[in-house]
Amino acid sequence: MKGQKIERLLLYLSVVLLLITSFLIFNSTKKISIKNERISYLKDSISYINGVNEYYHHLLKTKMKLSNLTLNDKLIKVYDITIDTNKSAFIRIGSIIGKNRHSLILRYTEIGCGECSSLTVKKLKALRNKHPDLPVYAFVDFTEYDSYLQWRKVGEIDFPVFLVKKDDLPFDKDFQNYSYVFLVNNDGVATDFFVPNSGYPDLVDYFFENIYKKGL
Amino acid sequence: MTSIFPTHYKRSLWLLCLVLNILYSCKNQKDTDIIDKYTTIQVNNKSLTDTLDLSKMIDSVGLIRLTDAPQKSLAKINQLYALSDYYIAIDPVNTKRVNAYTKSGIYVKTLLENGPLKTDALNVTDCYVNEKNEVIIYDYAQMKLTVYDSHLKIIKVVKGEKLFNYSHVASLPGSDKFVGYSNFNGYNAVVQNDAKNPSSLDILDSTLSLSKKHLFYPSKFGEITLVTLPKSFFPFKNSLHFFRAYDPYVYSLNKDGIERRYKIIYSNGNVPSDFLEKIVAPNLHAFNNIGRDPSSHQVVSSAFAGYTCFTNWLETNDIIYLSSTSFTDKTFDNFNSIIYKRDKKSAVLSAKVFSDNSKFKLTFPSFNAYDKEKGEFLTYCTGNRLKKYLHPNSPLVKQEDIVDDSFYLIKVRFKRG
Repeated sequence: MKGQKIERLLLYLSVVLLLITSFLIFNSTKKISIKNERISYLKDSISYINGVNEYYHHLLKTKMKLSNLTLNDKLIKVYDITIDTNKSAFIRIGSIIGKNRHSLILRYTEIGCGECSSLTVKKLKALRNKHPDLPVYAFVDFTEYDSYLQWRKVGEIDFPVFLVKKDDLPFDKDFQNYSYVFLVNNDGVATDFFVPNSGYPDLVDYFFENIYKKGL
Repeated sequence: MTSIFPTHYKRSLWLLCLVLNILYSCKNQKDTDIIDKYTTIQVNNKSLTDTLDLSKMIDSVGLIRLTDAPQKSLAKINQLYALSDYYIAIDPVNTKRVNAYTKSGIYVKTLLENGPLKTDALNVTDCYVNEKNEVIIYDYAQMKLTVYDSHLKIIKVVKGEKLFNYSHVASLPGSDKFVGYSNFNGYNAVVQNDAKNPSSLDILDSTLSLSKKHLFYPSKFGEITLVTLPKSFFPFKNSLHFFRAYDPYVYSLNKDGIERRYKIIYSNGNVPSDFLEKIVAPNLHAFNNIGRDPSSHQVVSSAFAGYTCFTNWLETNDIIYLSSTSFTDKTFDNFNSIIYKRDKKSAVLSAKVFSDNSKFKLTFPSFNAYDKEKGEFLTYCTGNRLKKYLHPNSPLVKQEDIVDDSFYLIKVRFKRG
């Protein structure tokens, strides 16, 4: 009888132990999953901050590397595609920028951040309406005529557009697949490079407000 | 000798072990619930003709221009659908909006677009029209679905509690559930608290919570980038067809389950069924870094060179229209096939492009959609492209009347039988 009681007690104890262990495992699994979720959020936040830092770092690097570079009038082939044709003859870049003390250039690449480019086009149009005395030109690198037509239609582009093949501008490689803007004087000297980012619209506004003053 | 435990306790313990074992097995049950019930379709792509004249098979060809919508234009059409009274077009890349047009091409309204308002989307990436002619628009960034009826009125808006990421979302016929497809996305598995078991096809309940997972893959492939098709779902009768680029099967889903319905075998460049281990695994670093490292792009292109996979699937009671792509080292070649369902052995017509050389005189771009009510296959192109597709003296439109930067729909009805 005594032996059986001990056996039953052992059995109850093992069942209780099993239940407690299961509860603890369940509890710790839940805690680990909550922690994993928090780590995931933290990782996202760190990635965001890293992205911001990378962006500023890129701006700073281009500011230091690229200043007072001259566009070579003989080497850069430019095609006027403002009017409906993809068969325009090539013209010299000097004939576009030589007419004005300063010109603001949008170097548009079809690969890359579409929303950043759209925002830039909107801001450029606003700047042009407000200050028509600073000429704005777009140098685009479309490889398909269809894509260009749609870009022009959707963006309601109303400033002159020229086709310049990718990597034909000496600083294209420094901007990889980003569209960028810069100021160029009538001697072809390019300054004030900036990569607009739709994530920081205030910075884009700040750039355009100040570039107008410089361009005068 | 007396036993440690009485017999009835022993039985209970065995029963407990058995139940736990069954529960564990159910938890780890993977693709075994996909039923194999497929018909094999052989596509001969070894010596493709450039152009195949389908004049004798064509009943009618129609052409309409989609009118421009001021401030609401689309820069590209990625998916096209036909309702009873409307066409639906989505541009998820450039303008991020979904537009509706009448059947004569007049712009009606923008159903949804990205914008700052609460009613706007954060990131419109996908659209789907189901068997009930409901339009389902997927806002990727908010895991939110907006469902419209066939008159373009909002029926419901569903926002998931967890932010799963899918490439395409569709509704599951005969139920209030949804189906989400993500190519290779380890993130989803983490959000599902099941990081070790990533899956490509998930069944979601009416609140967009995870209900069931299908098409599992090893977690080491959770970060790879592979071709995602513009659309992966097609409603057919009371089922939902699902297809993806490198998988030879077309799956059929409904409320009762999932089955492999068709298997496509190309005579040239069939993607091996173990392509993840055979093609991807030896180049895993490149497949993981294709967006970050330019040299990876070449490695991935070379790895897939020589293989063929399908890119779109349209099905009627009589025919299947299949678009396919063969990858080369630097580019790819598209071709199209028409498969007659009644006569499985000999009725597969394939060519790089189909055309009508007799009556309507034009070359057809690949068809993108099927209008089940009118029995028409649909495709779209810009006016600039249309000029190239039309042969001289085509009765459809005069060259000088074509607007280069407008979109045109080409509608083709095949003869029956």
